[in-house]
Amino acid sequence: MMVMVLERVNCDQHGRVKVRTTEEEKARIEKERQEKVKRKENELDTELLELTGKVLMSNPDINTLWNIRREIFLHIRKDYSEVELTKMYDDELSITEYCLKKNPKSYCAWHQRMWVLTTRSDPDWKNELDLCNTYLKLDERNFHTWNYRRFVVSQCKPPLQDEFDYTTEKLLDNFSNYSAWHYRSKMLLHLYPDVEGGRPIQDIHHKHELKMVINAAFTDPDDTSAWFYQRWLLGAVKTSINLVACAVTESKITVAFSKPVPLGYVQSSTQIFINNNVLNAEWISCCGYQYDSLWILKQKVDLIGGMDIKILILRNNKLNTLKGFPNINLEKLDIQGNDEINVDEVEQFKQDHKFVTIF
Amino acid sequence: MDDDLPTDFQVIVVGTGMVESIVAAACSRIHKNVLHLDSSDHYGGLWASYNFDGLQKFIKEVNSDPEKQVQVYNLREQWYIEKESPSEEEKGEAKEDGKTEPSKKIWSQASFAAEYRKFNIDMTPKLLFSRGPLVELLISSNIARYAEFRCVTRVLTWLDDHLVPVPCSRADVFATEAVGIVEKRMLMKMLTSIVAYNEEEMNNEFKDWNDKTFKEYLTHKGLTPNLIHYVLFAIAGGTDAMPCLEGVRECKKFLMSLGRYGNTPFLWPMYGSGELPQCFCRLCAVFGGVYCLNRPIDSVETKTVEEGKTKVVIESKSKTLNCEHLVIGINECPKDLVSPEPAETCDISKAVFITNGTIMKSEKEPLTLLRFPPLVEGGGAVTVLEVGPATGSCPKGLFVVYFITNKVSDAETDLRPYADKIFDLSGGDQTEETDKPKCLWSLFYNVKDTSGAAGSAAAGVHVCSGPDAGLDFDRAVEQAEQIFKKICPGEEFLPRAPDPEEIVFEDDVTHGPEFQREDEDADGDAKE
Repeated sequence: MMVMVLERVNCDQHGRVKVRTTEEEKARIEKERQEKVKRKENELDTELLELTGKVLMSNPDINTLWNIRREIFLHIRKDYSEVELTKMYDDELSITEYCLKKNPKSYCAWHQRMWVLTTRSDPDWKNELDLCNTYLKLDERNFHTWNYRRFVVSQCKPPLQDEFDYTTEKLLDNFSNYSAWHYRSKMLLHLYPDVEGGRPIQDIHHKHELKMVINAAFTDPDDTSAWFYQRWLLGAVKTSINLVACAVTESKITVAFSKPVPLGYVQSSTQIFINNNVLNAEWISCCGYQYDSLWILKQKVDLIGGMDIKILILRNNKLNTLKGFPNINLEKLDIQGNDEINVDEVEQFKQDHKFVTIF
Repeated sequence: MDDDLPTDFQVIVVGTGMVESIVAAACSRIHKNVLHLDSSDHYGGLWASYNFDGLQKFIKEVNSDPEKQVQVYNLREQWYIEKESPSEEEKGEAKEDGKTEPSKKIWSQASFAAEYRKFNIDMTPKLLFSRGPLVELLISSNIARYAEFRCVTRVLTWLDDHLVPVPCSRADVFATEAVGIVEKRMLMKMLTSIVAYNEEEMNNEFKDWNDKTFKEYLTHKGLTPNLIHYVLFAIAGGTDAMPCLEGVRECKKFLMSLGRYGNTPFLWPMYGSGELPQCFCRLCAVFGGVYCLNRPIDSVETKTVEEGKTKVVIESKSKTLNCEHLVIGINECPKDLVSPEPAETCDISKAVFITNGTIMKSEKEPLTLLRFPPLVEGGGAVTVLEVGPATGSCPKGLFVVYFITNKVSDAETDLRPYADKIFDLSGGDQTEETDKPKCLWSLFYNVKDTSGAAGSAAAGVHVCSGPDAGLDFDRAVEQAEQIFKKICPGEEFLPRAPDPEEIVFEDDVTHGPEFQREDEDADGDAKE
C-alpha cells in the first residue's frame, strides 16, 4: 500500500507567481548564451558542467547540452581519480533522475542515463531496476521506461521469470498496456520456446496467454492492446513446409506439401533417383496453379519392380533421404538387395508423416 | 486566563465536529474573526478518534452521565482475553513455539493498556470517495497537506456464506476468476451504461425505471444472480428495496471515483477519520481563529441590535461572548434553538472489534470495505471497515473492524449475527489456527441520529447536524457549505490557502547588503 499525499496531485496546476518564471527563463537564456561562447573556446571543464546542469534541470530536452556534458566527461575523466569520477557519475545520474521527474518522456535524459551507466566502470543495475519499478508505478504505460527497463535487464540479467511475473502484475493493474504485452511476448519466447511444434511458445502457455486475451476482450472489447497481442499469438505460428505425402505408381510420382508451394520450391527440395540416376522430369501442378500443394512428376520411364527408387527431400532445411519409399508396393519393387530398409522404420515413418496409401 | 479571551467575534463556532470545523475554517479563511469552542478536552466531538485510554474514558463518561446517553446509548464493552499476560513460564513456552510460528502474539488486557497510544479508534469511521466532494475540497483548499491517506485495497461482500472479493474496477474484472467471460461482458456493459447515466438527459437508459427497484432493473438486464449481488449490495451498497435511480446514482458515484488513487474508489485517513475535523481547525487557526477547548457554554441569547441585525450573546464560564453568527453542533445546542426534529429519524447501530488477524488473508496488509447484504428479512445492509496497523489505527498484529448499520432493535442484537460470520467470538487460545480471526475486544453502541437537516429557530444561529450512517462525508461538506453561504453570502468557500514558501512578505523584497566575509574574520581575530 502506498501512502498518498493528496496535495501532490495539484502541485503542477498551481505554479509560482508568473514574474518568477520569466526571470528564470531570462537567466536560462543568458546562461545558454554564455555556454555557447564557452564551447567555442573549447573550455570543457567542470564549470560548464555545472552551468549546463542547471539549465537542463529547468528544461531537460536540450540535446545539445547533454552532448556537451558527454564531451566534458570524456575530456576530463583522465584527470580525475576513480573516487572522484564515481561521485561525478552519481551526480549525473541524480541530474537525469531529476530531469525525468520533470519530464518522464525526455528522450535525451533517458539516453544520458544509459550512457552514464555504460561508460562508468561500476554501474549499479539493481538500483536502475528499482528506478524502473518506481517510474512504472507512477506511469505504467510510459514506453520510455519500459524501453529502459529492457536495456537494464539486458545488462544485469535478472531471472526472466521475475520479469515475466512483473508484466503479469502490471497487466493485472491495467491491461491497456502495449509495452507490457510486448515485453511479455519477448520473454515468453525465451522462457517457453516451442521447439517441436508450430507455435511460438509451448502449447500450455500459448493457451494461457490466449485466455488472458479473451478475458481482456470480454472486459473491454474496445481496448486494442490485447487484440494486438492476440494477433502476435496467433500470427506467429511457424508454418514450416512439410512433405506430407508421396505416392509412386507405375505412371507417375505425386507429392503433397503441407501448404501451397511454387514450382521452384518443388524442384529445389525434391530429387528423385532411380537406380542411383537422377530422374529429370517436369513437375506439374495438380490444379494448374502457380502455388499448389499437390505436384505430379511426369516421367518418361515406367516404374517397375526391381528398381531402386530413392527420393531426396528437403525437410526443415535439411536434406533427408527416403529410401525404399513406403508407398511403393514393396513387393513390386525389388528392395531385398537394399539392406538399409527396415519395415518397422517404414511403418513408423508412415505414421509420423501421415502418408496416404495410394495403391 | 479567562481574561485573555476577547469577547467580541464575528463568528463563534461551538463544537469541533466535521461540519462545525469546516465552517470555522471557511470563515477564518476569508478573514472573519472566529472563536472556536468545544466543551470537551479533545477535538471532534462524536467525530473523534480515541486512543485506547481515551476510549475507556469516553465509555466511563457516557456510562456515568445520563445526559450523554441521549446521544450515545446501549454501550456494551466486552473483553475476550485475560486481564494479565500469561506468567513468565508460559511466556517462555510461547516463545519457543514462537520460533516456528513467530506471527502470533498473545494479547492481554494489560498489553492493550501498555500500547494504548498505538490505537486510534474512530467513533465515526468514514471513507472518502476519491472524486467525492471532500477530496476535491481538501485539494482545492490546500488543506490536504495536513493529512495523509491510504487507499482501501479491496471491496468484499458476503455471498453464499463466504467472503468474496468484488470485481469493481476494470482491472478487477479482467483479473477475477470468479466470473465467466460472458458475465464479465455483462458486468462491464452494465457498469459502462451506469457511468454514462446523466440525470439531466431525459431520454436516458433509466427513464422508465423511476418507480421500480434497482434489483428489478438488474434482473431485467439479464445479469446473473452473482453479478446482481455484486452490483446491488457491494457497489451500490443497497438492499432489495433500493429504488432504481438511487442505485444508479450510488453506483455512478462509486465508479467515478475508481482509478484516481488506486483500484478501489476509497481513501481512508491515516490515524482515523477524527483527523479530518482537526485539519480544518488547523487551517482556521493558521488564519487567526482562536481555539478554546474544555469550554462549555451555559446559555445562548439572540438580540436584535438594529434593523435586520442580530447579535448572539453566549454565557460561558461567567464570561459574556458576543458574535454576529453562532455556528453550533446539534449536540451542544440548547433545545429551544433547534427547530422541531424531522419526524423520521433512524438511529445508528455501531460496533468496534479488535481482532488478531484480517478477515481474509492477503499478500500485503489489506484495508477492507465489506458490505453485507441484510441477513434477515427487513434488516438493513451492514457496512464493515477493517483497518490495520499501517493506517496507524492499532499496534502490529491487530486489526480494528468497524460495523455500521441502521438501528432496528439495539446495536448488539443488530450486529452480532454479522460479526459471528467473520470472527471467532469464543475467546480462548489466541495461537490456535482458525479460519476466522479471533476477536479480542468489542464495543457495541447506538448513536442518536442527528444528521437530519437541523434547522435553527433563531436568526444568527446555525445548527450543524451530527454524523450520519452514510459511508462518506459528503453530507457534512454540503451542509458546511450551505451554512457558510448563509453567513457570508457571495464569498468564496475555502479558496486555496497558499503554501508557506509561496507567501512573500513585503519587507523581504529588498535585500540587505551582502554579508561581508572579512568582517567575520576580523571579529574572530578580535575575539582571539
